[in-house]
Amino acid sequence: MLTGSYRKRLEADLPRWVAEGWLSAENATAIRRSVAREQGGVRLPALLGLLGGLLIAASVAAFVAAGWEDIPRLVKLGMILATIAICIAYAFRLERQGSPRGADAAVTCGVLIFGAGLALVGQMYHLPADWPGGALLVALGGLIAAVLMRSNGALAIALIAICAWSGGRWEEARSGAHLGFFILYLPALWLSLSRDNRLVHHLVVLAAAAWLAMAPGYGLFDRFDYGLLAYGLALAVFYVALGALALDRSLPPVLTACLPWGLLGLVLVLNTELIRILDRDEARAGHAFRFVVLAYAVAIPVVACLAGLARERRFAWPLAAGLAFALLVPAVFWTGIVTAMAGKIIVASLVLLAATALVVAGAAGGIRRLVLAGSVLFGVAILILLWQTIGTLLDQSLFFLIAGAALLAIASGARRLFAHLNPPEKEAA
Amino acid sequence: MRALSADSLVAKVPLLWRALATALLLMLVLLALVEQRARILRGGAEIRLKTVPIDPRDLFRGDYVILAYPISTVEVDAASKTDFERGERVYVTLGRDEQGFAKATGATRDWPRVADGVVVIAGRVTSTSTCATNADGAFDCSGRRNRLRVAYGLESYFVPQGEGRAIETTDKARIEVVAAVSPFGEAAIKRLLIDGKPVYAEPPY
Repeated sequence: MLTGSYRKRLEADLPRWVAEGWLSAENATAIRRSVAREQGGVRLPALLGLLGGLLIAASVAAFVAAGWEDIPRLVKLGMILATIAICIAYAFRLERQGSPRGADAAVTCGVLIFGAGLALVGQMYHLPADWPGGALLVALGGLIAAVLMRSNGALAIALIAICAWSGGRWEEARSGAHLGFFILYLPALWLSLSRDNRLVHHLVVLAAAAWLAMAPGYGLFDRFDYGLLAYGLALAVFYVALGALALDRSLPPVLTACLPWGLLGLVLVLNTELIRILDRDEARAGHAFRFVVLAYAVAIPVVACLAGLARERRFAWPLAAGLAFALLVPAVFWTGIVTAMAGKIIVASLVLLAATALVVAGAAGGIRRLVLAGSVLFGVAILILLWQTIGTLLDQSLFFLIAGAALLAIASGARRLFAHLNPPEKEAA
Repeated sequence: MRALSADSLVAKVPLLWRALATALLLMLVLLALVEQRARILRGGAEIRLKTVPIDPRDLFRGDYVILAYPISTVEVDAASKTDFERGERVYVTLGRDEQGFAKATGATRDWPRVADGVVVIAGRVTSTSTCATNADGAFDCSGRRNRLRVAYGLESYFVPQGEGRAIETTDKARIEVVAAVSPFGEAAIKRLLIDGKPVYAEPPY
């Protein structure tokens, strides 16, 4: 679980481990030095180099866009080709000198200038403004550089370009899923499995999410269908379960990047469903279209895997329960009782239960993102309930009272259970 | 798992070769794009195109001029019963009007059988059942709506920054475009003329 706060946690743990005698002071210093080398200092020149490279690429792009005719077009093209060659040659030199991050920055700059070159050729020959076609070529160039020069920056550019290309073609065709996406996405995914760069991991996960979001087809977005909320919810649950399973079972680190995005989707969709059921005009019985069924057919087994295969059950079971509660929310809409008081009470209870389960799972597994997502879901849900009440304000007050009392009872039960399972050390001795 | 990792497979090739291959491949993509267009300009059949303003209020956008032509709307024979879809590739057979300008005589999904010397241009359907455009550039939606709107890749013309306004203020009827069409139907703008005099000419390179 290598997160940004790893170093802080290590700083808190190392003195304790040394005091306990599990680790010698020299070893602790060696660990600190190693982590500091990985995370700080050495990165700075490469980071500044990357920013400089981006500015140079932007300068080339603006130069191309100006369409300045005093320099013949072929000379401009030659200049761009030469700049690409210089960038790659410089990357080669930096890699040889033992600065892989600097080399990465140089390759990234080269790929961006390649993109400017594409714009120049488009301008020279008056190619139509087919930006998805341009994005496809940028993606190809990015992938070539990402494979051969092992560049993370080029891979990031390629992933963004793949999304732009696929999204553009999807929008043009105005039909179903764009399957061509996978021709470029699968190689990018394969590359990302051997990379430890978090930006690349997040982009890989987001690109898949973007494709999945577009898969049901243009028509459903054009005339908004509430089934899309259920589809989004099932996808978010799938992402959270996959990310949690990856964290627990040490699956490829790219999969752990699913967790934050899944949580974001979960919080957004559940709160939207809550607003919807409390709104008099919008609380309508929905239906599950083919993609909702497919998404549920994928999400439910993954949640079951999380519950069954996870090593740390104290964290996995509450999380799986929370995700199951979330999956039940659209099912309430499909039963058609949404317009009745019972439907409103069930959906509000399911949302609050899901939020509580997220907080419990986060606290048990020490994953702050889960605690944060659960707390935000809980807090916003209460605000929504106060704004658009179930029945009158008095009914709402009764709902909160019963929900609060139930939670307090569970808390008290849990405290007794934990006291029973983990007796204080003195008694144990 | 480690043996199948992309990076460890690639690392078996020396860095120098990889760097050379990267630079060459990126440059080749650009050069291939240039050559593909230059080939059309070098050897393609020339056609003359009258222009019609697509958007009379805003011909000039950014640093390129948006152009449309009478052949941008193609009448489809109702008897052919071919339902074209948006985004589909079509082959438009071109004839000449009395002034020598190209006019569309039909659209097919596959390469049509035509006599020698007849030019066929490839395009993509941007909308079906569109209105006709009359000589003034205004839409005429009175007749049957069995027309396709087709893009040929001739619709934007890049100009140096600041020079687009000059074309914009020119009366649209005076602008003429000469395009080259390859034997495979790909088209590229070769010259832009005002009152029959070349204003911009495009050499292959």
